[in-house]
Amino acid sequence: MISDSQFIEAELSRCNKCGYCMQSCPVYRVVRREPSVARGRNQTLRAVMEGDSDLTRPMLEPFFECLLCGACTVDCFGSVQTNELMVRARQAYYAEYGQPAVQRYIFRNLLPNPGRLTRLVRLTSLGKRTGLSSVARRLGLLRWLSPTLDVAEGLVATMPGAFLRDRLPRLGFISPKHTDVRLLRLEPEQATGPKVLYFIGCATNFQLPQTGEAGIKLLQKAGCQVTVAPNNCCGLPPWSYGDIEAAQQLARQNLDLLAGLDFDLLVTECGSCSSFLKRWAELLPNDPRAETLAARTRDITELLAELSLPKLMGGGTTVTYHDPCHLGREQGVTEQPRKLLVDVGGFELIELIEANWCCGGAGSYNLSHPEMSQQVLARKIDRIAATGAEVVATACPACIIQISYGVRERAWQRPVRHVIELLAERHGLSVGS
Amino acid sequence: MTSALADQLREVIPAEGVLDDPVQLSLYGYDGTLYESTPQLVVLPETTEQVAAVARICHAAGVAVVPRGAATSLSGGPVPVRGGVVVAFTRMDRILQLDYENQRAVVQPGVINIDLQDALATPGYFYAPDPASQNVCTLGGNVGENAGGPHCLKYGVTANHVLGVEMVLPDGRCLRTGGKSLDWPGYDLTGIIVGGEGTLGLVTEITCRIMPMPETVVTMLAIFDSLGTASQAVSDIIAEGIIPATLEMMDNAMIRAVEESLQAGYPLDAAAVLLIELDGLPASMDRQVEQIKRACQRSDVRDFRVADDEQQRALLWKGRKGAFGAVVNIAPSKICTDISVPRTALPQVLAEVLAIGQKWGISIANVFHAGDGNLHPLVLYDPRDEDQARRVRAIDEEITRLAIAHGGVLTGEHGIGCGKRKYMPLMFGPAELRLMWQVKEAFDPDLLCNPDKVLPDRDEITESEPLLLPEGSFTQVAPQVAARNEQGWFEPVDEEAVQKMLALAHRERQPVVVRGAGTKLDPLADDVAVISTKCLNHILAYDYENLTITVEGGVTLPQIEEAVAYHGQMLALRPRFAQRATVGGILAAHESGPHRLVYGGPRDLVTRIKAALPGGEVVSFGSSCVKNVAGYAMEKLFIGSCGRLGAILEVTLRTLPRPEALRTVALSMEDPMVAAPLLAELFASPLRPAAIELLNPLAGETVGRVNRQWTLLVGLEGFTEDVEEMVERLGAMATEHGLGDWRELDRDYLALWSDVTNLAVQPAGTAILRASCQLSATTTLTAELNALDSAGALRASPGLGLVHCAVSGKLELRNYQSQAQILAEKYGGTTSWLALPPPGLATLPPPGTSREICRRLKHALDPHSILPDVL
Ligand SMILES: Cc1cc2nc3c(=O)[nH]c(=O)nc-3n(C[C@H](O)[C@H](O)[C@H](O)COP(=O)(O)OP(=O)(O)OC[C@H]3O[C@@H](n4cnc5c(N)ncnc54)[C@H](O)[C@@H]3O)c2cc1C
Ligand code: SF4
Ligand code: SF4
Repeated sequence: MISDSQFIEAELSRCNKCGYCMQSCPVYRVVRREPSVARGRNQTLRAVMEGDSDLTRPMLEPFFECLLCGACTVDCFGSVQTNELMVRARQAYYAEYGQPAVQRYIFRNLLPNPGRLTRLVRLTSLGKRTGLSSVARRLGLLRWLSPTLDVAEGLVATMPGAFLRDRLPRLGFISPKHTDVRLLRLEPEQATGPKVLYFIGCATNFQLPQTGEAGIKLLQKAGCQVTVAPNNCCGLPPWSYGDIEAAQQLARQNLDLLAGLDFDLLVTECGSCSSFLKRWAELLPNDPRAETLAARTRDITELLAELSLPKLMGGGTTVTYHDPCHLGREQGVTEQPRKLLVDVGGFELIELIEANWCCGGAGSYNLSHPEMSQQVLARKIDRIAATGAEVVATACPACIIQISYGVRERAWQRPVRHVIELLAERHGLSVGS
Repeated sequence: MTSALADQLREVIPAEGVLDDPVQLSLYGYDGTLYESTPQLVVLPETTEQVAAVARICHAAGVAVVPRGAATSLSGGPVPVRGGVVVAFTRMDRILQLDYENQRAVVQPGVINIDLQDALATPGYFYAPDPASQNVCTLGGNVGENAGGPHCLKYGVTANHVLGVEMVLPDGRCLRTGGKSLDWPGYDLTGIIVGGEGTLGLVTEITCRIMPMPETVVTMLAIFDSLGTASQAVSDIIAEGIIPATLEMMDNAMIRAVEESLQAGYPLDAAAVLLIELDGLPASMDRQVEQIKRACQRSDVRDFRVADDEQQRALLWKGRKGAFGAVVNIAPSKICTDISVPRTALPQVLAEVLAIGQKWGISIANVFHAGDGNLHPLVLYDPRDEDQARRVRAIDEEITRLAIAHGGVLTGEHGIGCGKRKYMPLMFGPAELRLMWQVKEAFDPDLLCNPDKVLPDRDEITESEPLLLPEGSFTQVAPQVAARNEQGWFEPVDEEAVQKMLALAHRERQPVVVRGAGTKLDPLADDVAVISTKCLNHILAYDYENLTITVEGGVTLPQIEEAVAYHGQMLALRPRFAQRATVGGILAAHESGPHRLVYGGPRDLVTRIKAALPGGEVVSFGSSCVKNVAGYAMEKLFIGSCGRLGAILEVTLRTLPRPEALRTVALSMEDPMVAAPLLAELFASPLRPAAIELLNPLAGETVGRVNRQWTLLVGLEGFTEDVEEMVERLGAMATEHGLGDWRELDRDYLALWSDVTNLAVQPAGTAILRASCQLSATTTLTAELNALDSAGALRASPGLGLVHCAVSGKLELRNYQSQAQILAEKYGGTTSWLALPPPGLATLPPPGTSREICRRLKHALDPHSILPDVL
């Protein structure tokens, strides 16, 4: 990935300070101050680049309180990629000051090691607070790493009984090679669809197993042969923190794990994972496997919209849909989830104003910048309230967790679900919780 | 120092609303230009009280304050060039009131233009000024720069829609100007503050006009092979009597850039595309489109497209809206220059702009408001290349000078800011600049508010030539300067003679008044000399293609009508005594008739004023370009000043195509109150009658009503089909409200309305009191005023919130006014005398800061008070 100063300079030279990015930056719109908008962030970076300002300040906050949602790039005449710039800025910052040790440990030692990671999450979820959770809290890292912390924060209502990977045998998965328990396959009744390799993201595995389960069952119903990929973290979290090296390391490791597997498409129901998987070619420009994989990656809503699932007549239930940034803006997948809800789910869709504005979840932003995240969320929840819809649908675990929290905070009884969960339910596919 | 100040400020503003971290400060040092300067501190206030407290603290510390909205300014307006405290208004973003009944919105200055539009859209209203930056810029910034936008061709700029402000003066005191109702006494401070570029004070609340959305919108695109023919088409469209809502043009460089990135469907080899949008009633649309098409065909249009639906409309606009971004393909960055020239000069100016670009080897693309001659050449360059940056600055200067050379102005809508201060002397002489400085000082004596903006440094202003006057007393010298008529009035023959008369009066401390036709015969004290503008009766220039006419102050309206009639135009000013009144007199008194409803008043129709001041100086403000924000809008100061500041020598006014159909319909009723629900419905509808008057039974006699009933009179102007449709829909509305049938009045339209305006049933010289109020209260106030004096004729303008009462002879005027004043105040208005104000009864601006500033202005312009002074 072009992480050099040339990229930064080229982007910055297109920023003519017109201020158009103030339109729909969710952070700016709640705090209304210059450091919190793309123009301010970019000018801060410019000052650093030109040596007018240095990185010796304790924290260059403008770089860190960006949601990386990409809304500003759409509004910007020059399409300045502020989110990309902020990743580079974070990278530069850590290069200068060193990455916090815990963060480095998580990105370089924990994420590439699923056994260790799972044990740790299990431990923390059992309520045994480790020293790590409070550090993670401070750094705002990876909410699913410390579910107890999320519970403490009220972000998560209840903890799942079992992680998704633990449940796979129960779902009827058989392991073709008994030597590798992490590679499991499920045959459809009638194999009419593509061979799918299902990518289970960390948040899905640890916090929303029922969502992944719904995805797998729907694919099967749609005629796909589903194999669960023996994957690790996709690399997005370290990348967002500017640890591009760790992201590359995870991607490479995943490519090794997936090597030799027989599949047509790599599919996930996590909009963030699917967006990042599609960027692997950029991340590892010298690895041809990355390009092939990126080309075969689909978000589940993208794929399901192409497959023939039986259509349901309107059940009269009203639903509104929130576009996850990584799915809608980044991948341009906006029509498909809506179409699925209406055609396949039989829902009545009420459009959400500002549907594509970030909900403030943004990975682990709600832990690193709780107050800002709350304010961004409040605007989203107000908009949802205005629709009056009975159900809130979206298509990314991070958004589900964040919006569910906002809904609970207002003591509403309104379900917040992944599109595919709603579809599975409408089609009578039972998913355990 | 800084930290002590920060501590003080933190006592009056929540701590996190005071920024002093160097990184953050540097982010409040720029706008959309290349100017930059880091402030000492930044504050983010949330209430007027906080703003006032900040101003007080800074004033005491002698630190500058610089107001800032969204900092999208393209003139360096909010850049703190001398440091100081930036007052960022982004958190004062509450819409305080959406008052549909009275067609007003009250907002805090940090409200984003589009947020107001969005809030208004559901009930079907809009706020007209729509700068291209409206998705992000604030209304405070719009007020600061007097922003325009694509739709201001038809609807006017910010100044035409802002009716009042609350402003914290640089010393921390609060000033209120104008309000929801019209015509407040005193000088037009709102008019000066709008476009004041934040140099006069910190605006903390804005009252503006909102309107029902037009019913139909039709968008067209015309493609031309030369800029000349495209410009000709613009003139021809207007000559057809059509004023579209927008007339936007793009040149070839822009077309190519747009096509490359957006594929809006423009041919790459076209020299110009013209985007035309009409709005209004559906009835006349087809014919107007046909007429526009014919006008374009006469100019050899290559292709003419009309959008059939919303999707096509969006496609036609796509190129225009994306134009700014499209140029990124040519060069990473750009500066957006801004000049205004008479529309007829457009082809020539465009050619020269491109030549300038070629000379310096820099690409220039143009997208501009062709309808009003406002150009924004986009100068495209790479900011990383220092040499290119240098050439771009040179181009900016040459383009600015080019505008002046073609009779244009320094800036059409972006402001002078810090970038164009140095060019101000190109447009203004020393007398004008000195006067603007005096205005600045009246508001900001310590020069602490947004310093080093708009005006060039004082010591750069040269001295004016002293005026040579013979020695001697007024009585000795005056007759040598001007002859006297049989009434003893001095009648100077030309501008210079007026100038000398005033200078002489000033030197000799001789009280004088300036008189036009003498239609407003205030009683005079014996020692007052009268200067008549009777001889200043020449029409100086009539530029029918640009829809402007320049006349001397003593010219009468019939003279103008005669001149413009040949080109099928009119001056949409129909005040009282329109047959005799002089333009200077009308403006000084801010007289306007019922048709102000659709055409606006003198304030909206005047683009330039030249006046002689008591000091003997002659000053000229404004220009014949309709889009002009260079310097303070000083011309507004003279309008409504009642001759207390100077003698109006010359005026440039906007003319308009004469409407095709003129019809008057009338409805009778027992009680004025029964009209109220009908009127409310009418005002909320997209119908736009030209005039609406409610006449009491006596006033009704002017239009032949003798049955002791009240009359609701509606004047309709426009395309035949539209007028027809309005008549029909008015009929339906009246039936619905159980009010019976409208009667059409066949009498000559203008004569009829002139009688109504003059309250012609009254004997000449009757005292007339004008009461103002909020629109929705007009009928109530009318009924109550009528009860005060049922023997006088009364006409109310419910669409303007004004009531004119002729006071019958039986009443004691002072007593009458004080009762009327109580009533008007109850409904958010005030009263003033239009004719024969009893001595000492002229209405004053409210005591306090507003009156004080008016007094300072008076003192600046007329230090010895030789002209009438009521303050
Ligand atoms: C891409 C682009 C397109 C544009 N298109 C147009 C256009 O079509 N028409 C047009 O007219 N302009 C246009 N502009 C210029 C700019 O957007 C306008 O001048 C706008 O009115 C500025 O508003 P702002 O909130 O950004 O004010 P700022 O830039 O922050 O300030 C503008 C001026 O107003 C003063 N000010 C701000 N707030 C206050 C206050 N509360 N009290 C007193 N003074 C105050 C400031 O001191 C400054 O002098 C454009 C700009 C850009 C970048
Ligand atoms: S919209 Fe783009 S060019 Fe304009 S200020 Fe924002 S980042 Fe810069
Ligand atoms: S990426 Fe999102 S949060 Fe970051 S500056 Fe852009 S709009 Fe704002």
